[in-house]
Amino acid sequence: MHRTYRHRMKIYRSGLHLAVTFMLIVAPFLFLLFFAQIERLAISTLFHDVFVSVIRLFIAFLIAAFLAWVLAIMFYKGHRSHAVLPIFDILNSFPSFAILPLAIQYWGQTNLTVIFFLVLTIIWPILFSVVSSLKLARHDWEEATEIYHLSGWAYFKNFIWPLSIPGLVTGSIIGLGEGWGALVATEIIVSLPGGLGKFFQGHAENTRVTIFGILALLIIVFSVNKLIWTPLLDASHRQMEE
Amino acid sequence: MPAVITLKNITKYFEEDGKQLLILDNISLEIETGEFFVLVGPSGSGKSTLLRIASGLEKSYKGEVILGKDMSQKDMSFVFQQFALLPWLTVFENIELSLLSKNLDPDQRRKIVSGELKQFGLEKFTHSHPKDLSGGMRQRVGIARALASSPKIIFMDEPFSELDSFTAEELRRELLQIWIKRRPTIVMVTHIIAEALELADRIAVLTARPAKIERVVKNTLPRPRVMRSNDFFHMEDQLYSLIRP
Repeated sequence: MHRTYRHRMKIYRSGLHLAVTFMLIVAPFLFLLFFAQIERLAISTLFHDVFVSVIRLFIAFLIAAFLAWVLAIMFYKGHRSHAVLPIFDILNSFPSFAILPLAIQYWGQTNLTVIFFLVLTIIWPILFSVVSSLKLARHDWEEATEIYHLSGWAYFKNFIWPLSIPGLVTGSIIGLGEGWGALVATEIIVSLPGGLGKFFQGHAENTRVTIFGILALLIIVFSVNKLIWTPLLDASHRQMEE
Repeated sequence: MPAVITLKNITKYFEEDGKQLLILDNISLEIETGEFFVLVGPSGSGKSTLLRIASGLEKSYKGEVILGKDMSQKDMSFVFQQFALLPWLTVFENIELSLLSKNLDPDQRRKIVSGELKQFGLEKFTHSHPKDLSGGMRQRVGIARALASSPKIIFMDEPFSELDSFTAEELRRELLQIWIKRRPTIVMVTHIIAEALELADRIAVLTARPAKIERVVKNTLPRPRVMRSNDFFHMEDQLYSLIRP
């Protein structure tokens, strides 16, 4: 019986909450339809551009979140952290746009270049947030896991994973925020076919389309935030309450 | 009685502003199987550090910690001053934590945890999280977790100091009943002399920093102890005079 309670996160609190959630899912689509109609754009192209960009960002995010999380767990404490964390900090400040031309030379004008560049942008906020989350562990929690010889999967599942969730969520919010910005810029620089970068570049002359485009982007970001990140943030903070 | 754990010439320095500060000065102790042993001393005397060294949580020290026959690190438990319950786990899961490294299947674990929940009157909090519990209930979970793994020795670091006096008294009584029934060796740290006298078989009095053993006193008061008896007051005075000569 008790198993059903494990790590359950109560995200939706009421019917109204669910209804608003549904609206948030529908709103970006409705806006894109409205946008296409008003500006006489091909709906399929518009949806395709948005879809391609979202997928690029999503893949980059998954890679970055996984790498950041693994690195954070490996280096958040102990002697290694003294050596490695300053290096991460330097890499974090590294002007990554500077190596974009080099990346284009190596991988050409491909999805790989864009995703690589996005990973470089998204990884650092997640990494540092997870590190700070793990460092917030109370010393006696660590002692409890030590005295009861928690190791391997049990240690991961009962200690490291729950402890790293708040940092993972906060870092993801910041990382994706930076990611959206970098995404459009990179797509324009790399000049890949499809995607929002291409869309904005293609309509550079048309202020109205550009404004509508930015509005569409903001609505998508807002919806994703309200649908995914805010509830996750609330839930992760609730589970850390003492 | 054979020694369950022996401390030999334990010396510990802390580093403060680049200077080596002597905390524990050549402490030797023998804890006997099944006894309730209490360390008392002034605040900041290093009692908790000594407890952590004995339990293996503190690893940098000089001297030797010798475990008794058939004893291993896995036979030890610890009750923390501030409970050290993991806030994201339920009461059940927090108690279960001490069993996860044992070779038990989930059903066996469930049975043991359910037994402890019943013992401590925590059944209705099985699926609650620590934040929903009072201080007394939280420390009950802490003690239940420590007992669940059937340890040979339980270390307790001022386990009642975060509780109001009424709850602390109640919990001390429960602890004594359980100790009499199950007889694990208990090594407890406190700075309250009456608490030590109520619980202990033997009391080690530590001096102020750097801590040395002033004396190990055998508690001759018969159990159950009457805290308002003349003998109790007499021993309390005796111990006070050792701490504040």
